[in-house]
Amino acid sequence: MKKTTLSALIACFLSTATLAANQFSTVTDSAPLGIGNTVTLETAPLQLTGHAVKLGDMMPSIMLKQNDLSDFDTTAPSKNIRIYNIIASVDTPVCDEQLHELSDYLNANNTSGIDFLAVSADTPFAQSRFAKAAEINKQITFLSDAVSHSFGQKTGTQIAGIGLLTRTIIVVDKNNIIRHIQRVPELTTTPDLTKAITIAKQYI
Amino acid sequence: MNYISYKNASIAITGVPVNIGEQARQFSLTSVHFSPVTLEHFEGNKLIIYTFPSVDSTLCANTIREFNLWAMRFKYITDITVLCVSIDTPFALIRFIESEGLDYIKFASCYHSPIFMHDYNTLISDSIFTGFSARAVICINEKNKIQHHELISHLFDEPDYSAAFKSLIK
Repeated sequence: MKKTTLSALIACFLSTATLAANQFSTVTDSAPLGIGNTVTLETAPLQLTGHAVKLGDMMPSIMLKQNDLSDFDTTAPSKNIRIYNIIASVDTPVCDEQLHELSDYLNANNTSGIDFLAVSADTPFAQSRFAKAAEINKQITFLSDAVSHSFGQKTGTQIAGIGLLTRTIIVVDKNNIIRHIQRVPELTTTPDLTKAITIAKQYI
Repeated sequence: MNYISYKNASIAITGVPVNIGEQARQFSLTSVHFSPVTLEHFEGNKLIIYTFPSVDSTLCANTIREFNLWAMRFKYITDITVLCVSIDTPFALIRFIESEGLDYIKFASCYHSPIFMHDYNTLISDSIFTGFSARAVICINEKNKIQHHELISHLFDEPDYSAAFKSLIK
């Protein structure tokens, strides 16, 4: 894609910052991850890159940074089911709304047995600032892929050319096997959180 | 290899050494509008590149405000562009600029790739800050020649603003 088109698109994406909250619709459809696939941003397609994970795969080993800058290994043993909420940036309105939705859900429901992870290419500092300012439920662990972009590359959630992740929800069981993937075909829509939680509960 | 310190630990910096008097290396960064920012954009101008870990850390934010004040004062003396560079996303940069009202300095992101940090010798290669940029100041004159370079020896110390600006009014 030509760089000029890309900048225009991103500027368009940014402009939605001025619109009211709760305007982005939740969708149930899903599209494949990884190289050769595209995600739309309102009008035009953006190429995805990286190696696509699929249902039944083991979650690959990826090092991410937590907000205190310590390492988080995606293959570290866990007693809980993990739901990865993969987002473009905490500094964009859709992600803001998606994380508020998740936070509100956690405030109202008992979700013991499930770990909620939010992954983006933001720095741990930006994630931490957002979580505090937005009063996000502390059960959500923010993980940063800013340094190496290896999460994007190893799961196929990387948007080529702009260094950000495409909006996806991935459920991983206690044996680190991927049980559910929803990658939204349009970046300004949010995935079906309730469905992901229903599936996660089957593996607790 | 260069070393800086953080608290009591030593942190390695990897990259190509930066020497005063040599030509500045080409670079490609990302603007807050996701367009490319290269050295050619500043050709014929005096340029201060200020690198740091993240706009969302308190000391970095303070030093950026300080650079904005220095740039404001110096604009009556000579035209110097200050370009602040970090691995923050362009979204984070734009949010920071808008909330702070920083009118006299520019920003670009190196979040895409570590090449810039490698070429300007600011890439932290061990410690919890691996992959972030160290704090450094590189001053480039209108002929693309490096006039001043400071790799701040303690990660959370302030740079020498005065030395940076003065190097470009000689």
